[in-house]
Amino acid sequence: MSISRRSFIQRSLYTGLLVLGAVPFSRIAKAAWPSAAFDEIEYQPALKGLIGDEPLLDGHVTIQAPEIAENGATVPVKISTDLDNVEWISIFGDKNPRPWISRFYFHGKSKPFVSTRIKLRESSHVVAIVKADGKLYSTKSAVRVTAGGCV
Amino acid sequence: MPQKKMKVRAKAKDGKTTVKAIMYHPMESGSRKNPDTGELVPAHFIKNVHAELNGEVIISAEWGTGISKNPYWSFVFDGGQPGDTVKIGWVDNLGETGSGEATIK
Repeated sequence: MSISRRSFIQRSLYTGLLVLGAVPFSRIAKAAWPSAAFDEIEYQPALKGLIGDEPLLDGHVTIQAPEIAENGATVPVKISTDLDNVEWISIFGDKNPRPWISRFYFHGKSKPFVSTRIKLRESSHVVAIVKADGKLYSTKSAVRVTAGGCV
Repeated sequence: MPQKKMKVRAKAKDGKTTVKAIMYHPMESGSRKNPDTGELVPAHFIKNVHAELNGEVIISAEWGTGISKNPYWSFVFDGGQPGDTVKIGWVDNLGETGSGEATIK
């Protein structure tokens, strides 16, 4: 790490102020950014930072990810679910230096589906968590990384 | 503030619209070393992204440093007519912003 946790937090707060000042994007500035999850460098604390002590249920979540990724810097993942009333989908890489990767909130007409490309430092699991009807569902997919991503 | 480049495509089929976007951004985690100088490259990554259909937010997202450089993002929503506008905007950790839009085909 190049910066201490304290200076990171200070910078995060400063960035938050800048974001609030960005008028055309004021709406997304309302979205919280989960620094409690992001700051963690171990998977379990990062997970706890995002969801607290809520139990994770199995099933209903599908991850499409390669079994072998030649380049850990760009691993394509697709996450979908058959659940209704999905509030958000979150993605973790359980051995990444920052295990929490992202969270997508679904409003209105959007389908609970994410397709993106993530970094994986080493062979590990991609973990997807879905919040639907107030409950959390989770699944994971093992990816073997032959060249780690510069994460 | 200059707007960063982004490519967005949106296509309606069978009552659903699929959007695909590539944003041009370094997504530096802050823990990568410059191979020439050995110094850490400062963190520079997109933190918040949102997508709008005709001005209404349909997806918003929080990103960390684990999203790949030049982020690719695809999503799907119900409905959408040819001619409707899909817009994507982001804000990064330095307060820079970017946006792009597409007309549904």
